[in-house]
Amino acid sequence: MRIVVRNVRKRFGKVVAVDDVSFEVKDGEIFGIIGLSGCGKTTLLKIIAGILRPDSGKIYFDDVDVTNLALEERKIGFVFQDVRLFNHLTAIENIAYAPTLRGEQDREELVDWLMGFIRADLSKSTMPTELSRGMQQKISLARAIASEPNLLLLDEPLAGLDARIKSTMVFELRDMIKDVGVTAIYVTHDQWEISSIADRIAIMKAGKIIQIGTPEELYYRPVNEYVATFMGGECNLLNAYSLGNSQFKIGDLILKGSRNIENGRNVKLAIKLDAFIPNGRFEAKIIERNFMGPFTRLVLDINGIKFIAKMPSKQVFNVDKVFVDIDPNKIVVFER
Amino acid sequence: MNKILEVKNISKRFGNIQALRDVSFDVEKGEFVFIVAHTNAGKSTLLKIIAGILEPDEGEIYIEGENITKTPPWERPVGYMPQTYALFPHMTVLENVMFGPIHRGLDREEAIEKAQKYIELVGLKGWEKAYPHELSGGMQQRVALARVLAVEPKIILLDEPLSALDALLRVKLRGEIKKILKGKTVLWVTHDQEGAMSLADKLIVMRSGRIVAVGNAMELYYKPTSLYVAHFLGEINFIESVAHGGFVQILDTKVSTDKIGPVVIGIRPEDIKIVKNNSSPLGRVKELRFVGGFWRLLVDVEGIDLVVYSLKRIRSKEVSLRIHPEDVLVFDYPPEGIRRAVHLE
Repeated sequence: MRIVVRNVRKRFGKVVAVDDVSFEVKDGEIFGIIGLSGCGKTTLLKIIAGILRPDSGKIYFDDVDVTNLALEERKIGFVFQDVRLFNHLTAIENIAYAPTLRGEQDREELVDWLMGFIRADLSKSTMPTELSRGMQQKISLARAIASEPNLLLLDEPLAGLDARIKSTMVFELRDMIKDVGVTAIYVTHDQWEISSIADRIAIMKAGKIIQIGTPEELYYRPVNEYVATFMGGECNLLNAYSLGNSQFKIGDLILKGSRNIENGRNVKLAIKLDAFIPNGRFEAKIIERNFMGPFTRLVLDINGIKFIAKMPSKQVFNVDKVFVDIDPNKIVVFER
Repeated sequence: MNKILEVKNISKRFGNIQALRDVSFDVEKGEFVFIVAHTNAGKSTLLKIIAGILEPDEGEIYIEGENITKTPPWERPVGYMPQTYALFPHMTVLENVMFGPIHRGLDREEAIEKAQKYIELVGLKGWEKAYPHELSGGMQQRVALARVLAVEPKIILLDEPLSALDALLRVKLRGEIKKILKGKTVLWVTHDQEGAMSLADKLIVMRSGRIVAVGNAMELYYKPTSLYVAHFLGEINFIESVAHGGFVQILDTKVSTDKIGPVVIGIRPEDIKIVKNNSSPLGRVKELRFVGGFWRLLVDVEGIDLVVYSLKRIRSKEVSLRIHPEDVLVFDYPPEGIRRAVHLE
């Protein structure tokens, strides 16, 4: 199912919660919406679901205008942050709830198939309350998928879970959604989580969408400083001025950026943490290091300028300096 | 040896639940120690026992050699910051931070002086007269930290201090807290293994009320003592195999081992290298995700799915993979099966 959101606005009193938002979700796509709390993402989700009516604008499912359709007529599967399973039914009965209501004969097959997804050995009598919260959330998703919805809406489904559980579950959720091919909208405030699960992402701020793109596009081609620092957590933001030919000067350093700006203009460079390539020409003193597993976060001093970098841990073992190059494609240039 | 805290054989039960089982460890003066574990592993209970808010069923706590197991919380030289750091809402920043010193017998002037010193240390100079509700989440966090510091404890106990904050602020603040607490003895409890590894001098990994590993982060990450610890500290591929003749094999890499029979081979995704070499085993790229600064691939090699990290975008459908024997971990096959052995909750 293709979802079209066109010029949607919603105001609560003086607050414009959703401000002229338009986007399209392709059939079978996992579309992410990310923003800080209060950015309007939950209101937008409620409008798509039919829980709230927009003040103006339209919602289409395929080519059908559903703007005035009620929630139940839109056939939407929900997964919320707080797990809402039927606790008087077994885990399996929860998954089979919608197929049973429809009186389907082959529900056993469908349930078996979904259970395979969840990768759990649940007995027929396992109740939701006996399960961990992560597992309950997987059952919620399986139940939502089994209802064969037009659209799946996931609102912070992994919030509140332990970091390590979240980082394994996010890929499991993606597998489950992609295997059935249902169109999904996934809302969170966690940029790592959204990059891991979504095909494309919309970043919202103060009711507006600032940028839509793939995780890679938002990370390496942010339209402004807000997106640059939002996607990726940390980012080096440095004042520089243009020397022409895509070259920029910061202190004594001359760096090549991802695009050209007229000579002499002041710019701001957003240098991503993974821009630092070993075996390069700049000598960098390591003045701080944080081991994070595959990568080590470093504070580097290059010619008296401090940079934050993330490099593969094994390349920076037991050394107090590294020689690096800075990848021009990972230096975003903003005009000032 | 300069042990400041010794936790000896602590056990604690709540009804039917054994929250802590025979937990023992030491903390040295000036050490920055993380206890990292899943939710409900008993880590907060342990911290409360050290703070004196809970009594253990068994075991003892020593600070600087003195048994304090029966000492009331307010007489212990510890500063404890609970998960909900609950500032007094009707008190200003200054009054919040002064509270501890006054409670511990300092006169008003001395308490103000102490409070001001630590308010400045946490970067809130100028905010002394503000009320908690006028501050952001991150600032409230710092007030809570100043409040703990102001009693000048020998050990600082932090229970998930960043859990209330959003992801971006969390990363920023955890580095700041480490700087503020530099040189102090700190025991910090969290479920965030990445944050813990990045700041810890020493890491204590707990699982279901027990300590399952103690060591520095790099040791535990690269040479984990169990499947559980290997998996808990970061993504890892586990492949079932059989060792014989002193070797196990993964792809075309032979690894020597003294194990015999069923084993589990562990290899981190960043240690599987994509090479331009036709003689290396070929895999089919089933999935490719950009996960912020690097690519995560799922590669099918001879029927085995391997997660592989790459710094560059891979555009081909097939890749050659190489594994170096020194990056390979070999574990005994767990009697309960891999899934149960690494189960996180």
